[in-house]
Amino acid sequence: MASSNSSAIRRTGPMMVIEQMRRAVVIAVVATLAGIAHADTLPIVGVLAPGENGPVLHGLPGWRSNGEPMRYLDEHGRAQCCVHIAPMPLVGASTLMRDGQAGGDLYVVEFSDALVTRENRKPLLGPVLNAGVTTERRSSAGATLRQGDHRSRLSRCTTSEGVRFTLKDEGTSVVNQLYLPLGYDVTPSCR
Amino acid sequence: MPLSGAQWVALYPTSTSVSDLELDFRTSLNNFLAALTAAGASYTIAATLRPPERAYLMHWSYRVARENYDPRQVPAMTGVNIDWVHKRPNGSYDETASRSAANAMTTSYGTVYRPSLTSRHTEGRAVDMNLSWSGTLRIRNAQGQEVSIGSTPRSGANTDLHDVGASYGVVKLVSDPPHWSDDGH
Repeated sequence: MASSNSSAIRRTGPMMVIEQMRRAVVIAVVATLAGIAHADTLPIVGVLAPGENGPVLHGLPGWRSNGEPMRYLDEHGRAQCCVHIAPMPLVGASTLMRDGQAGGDLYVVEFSDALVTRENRKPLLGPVLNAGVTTERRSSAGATLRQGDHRSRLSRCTTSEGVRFTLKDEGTSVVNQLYLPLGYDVTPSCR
Repeated sequence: MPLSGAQWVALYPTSTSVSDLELDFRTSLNNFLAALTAAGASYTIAATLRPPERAYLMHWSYRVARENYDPRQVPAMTGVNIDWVHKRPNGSYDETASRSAANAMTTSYGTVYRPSLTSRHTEGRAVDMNLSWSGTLRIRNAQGQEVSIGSTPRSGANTDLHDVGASYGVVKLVSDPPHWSDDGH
């Protein structure tokens, strides 16, 4: 049962390594036992990140692209239009994990690496909004998202080598977090 | 000296080999991985050594492309013969071409935040890996004692496993799920 592919992937393309890691550790931290974060219940459907051949979407479970253009939040918390995400089947699995730091339960979410196209070639890392979600009170630290009667505060910060998105529902206080490894080291901004 | 540009991105790749790590941490990690394997756990290593040369190229290309740093002021790094300053045919400084080349590098690297010049990875003292197992993990710590881990998650986020890793000198950085190092940074 024990296995390792470390020797087999001794050196690979830099972006490939990053993508392999992201596949495994894009996670959602759920501070209650309400259930696994699901695209139907959240104002975001996943996170865009640079990929080997352009941006890719790391999607939450349950979300399927219908090919419609999707808005995303830029680094200033502004909703930008748009990315076109190719309809692709979801792959991956969910795994329950314990988060000693946050005191809640962690879930490895299912992911989908759906190809994304857009005109701007600048590397992009940001959440993609569910249809009908509007933004308020924007700043570089995040934005308030309104989805029907629900409001959530979405913020982002950097860890030593990743980005953490925190989504707090203002009504239920449920906190979801998404972590995305960058594949390089940065100065942490998370407190 | 070769000019800056996207062709540099393929050089100095991140390693996934334990053998590229600094000796002490390599030994610690190999012992921990052997214990994991003996206990029936699986692991996949995504990163070990991030060459300092790669960090240098990522950092300064980002500064020039995204932070308006003057490419003529970029410090040299021994062993990396890159020329950040592009020139016109008449020999004068070409700022547009210099920044465009740096921008091509950040795009190819996929850099979104300013990369650090140094880290435990550039020092060969860190590893990014994913761990998993089924059922209860019965693993020996560095003192040879068997530790039964029935708690969840069955992954590198398990705090009981963090204690076992620490006994080998492989310390978890909780804020970054894949990351372990010799001192938890």
